[in-house]
Amino acid sequence: MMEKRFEINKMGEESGFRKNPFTIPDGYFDTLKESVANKIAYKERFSLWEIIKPQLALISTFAAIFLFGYIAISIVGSKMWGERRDSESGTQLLSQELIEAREFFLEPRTIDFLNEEQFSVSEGEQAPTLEELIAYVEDNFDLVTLSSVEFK
Amino acid sequence: MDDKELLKLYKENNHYGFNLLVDKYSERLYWHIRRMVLSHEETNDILQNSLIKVWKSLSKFRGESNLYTWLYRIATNETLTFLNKKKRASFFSLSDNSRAIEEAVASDPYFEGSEIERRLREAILKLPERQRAVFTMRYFEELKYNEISEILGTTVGSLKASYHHAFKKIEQELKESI
Repeated sequence: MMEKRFEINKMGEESGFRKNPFTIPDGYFDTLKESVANKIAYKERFSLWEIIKPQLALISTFAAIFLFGYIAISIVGSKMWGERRDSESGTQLLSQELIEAREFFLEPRTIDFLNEEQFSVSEGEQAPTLEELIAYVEDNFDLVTLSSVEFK
Repeated sequence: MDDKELLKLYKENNHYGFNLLVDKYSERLYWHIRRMVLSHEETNDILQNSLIKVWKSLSKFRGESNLYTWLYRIATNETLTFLNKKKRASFFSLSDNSRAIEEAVASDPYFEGSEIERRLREAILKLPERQRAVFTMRYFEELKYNEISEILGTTVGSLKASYHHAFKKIEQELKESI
């Protein structure tokens, strides 16, 4: 008898093994639909985006504050630093311009060019007057540049 | 109402169509899940989660498989995920797993089976999750191997082997426990 009961191959309908030994709470399937509908509504309301949104807003606010702060500090800082640098090393900037002017004018080729080409007068052309030359130099060269030029 | 008509109604009115689907399939899905997890509360959670997933993806269902196969697949995957999580949690628990299973079956207020039925359910609970799914679908629900294959995405040969192993384990368990 026992042997027969535990022969799983024979555990068909007659054994009662396939019969359902479980029960469910009364009216369970009547309320299931409503429970699922409520859960769906809740999930749709509090979807991932809805959860992330306030956190994202907070992060964006902090990022904006940081950015504005950084820009403000950069502007004010560079202004102060620039003023300090101008007053402390104004001569440094001036000397840089002088070096460039010197490089241009004192370069032998440049002087030769100025001597030979720009100020040479071909036949038939009228030589510029002294006033015209002064006016040209005044218009085209600043005082600093001129003071650094040494004509040989 | 057949599935084609149900899906047509769903396309016309999502909520109405989905409610019809819940009416038609929730009980079958409930018992499908219950046989694998036993507890009503856990079955209820898994079923509701499965139905929510169905709601989310029903619009993408193209009808390439039977609607009930598709629903079974969702419910089975949800159940297997749940069982795996539970297994991981019990791995870190100090209590003895076999004893926990016995207590779970004994304390279930919605179980009205005889002593031998209780032993059978305990033996099923001790099976690895996938074997348990194969065994319940084949033995209790009497699904064909090709239907189970569609649900689990496993070959028929592998399913037959799983069922055979599950069968032998349960047989052995029952012989030892009495």
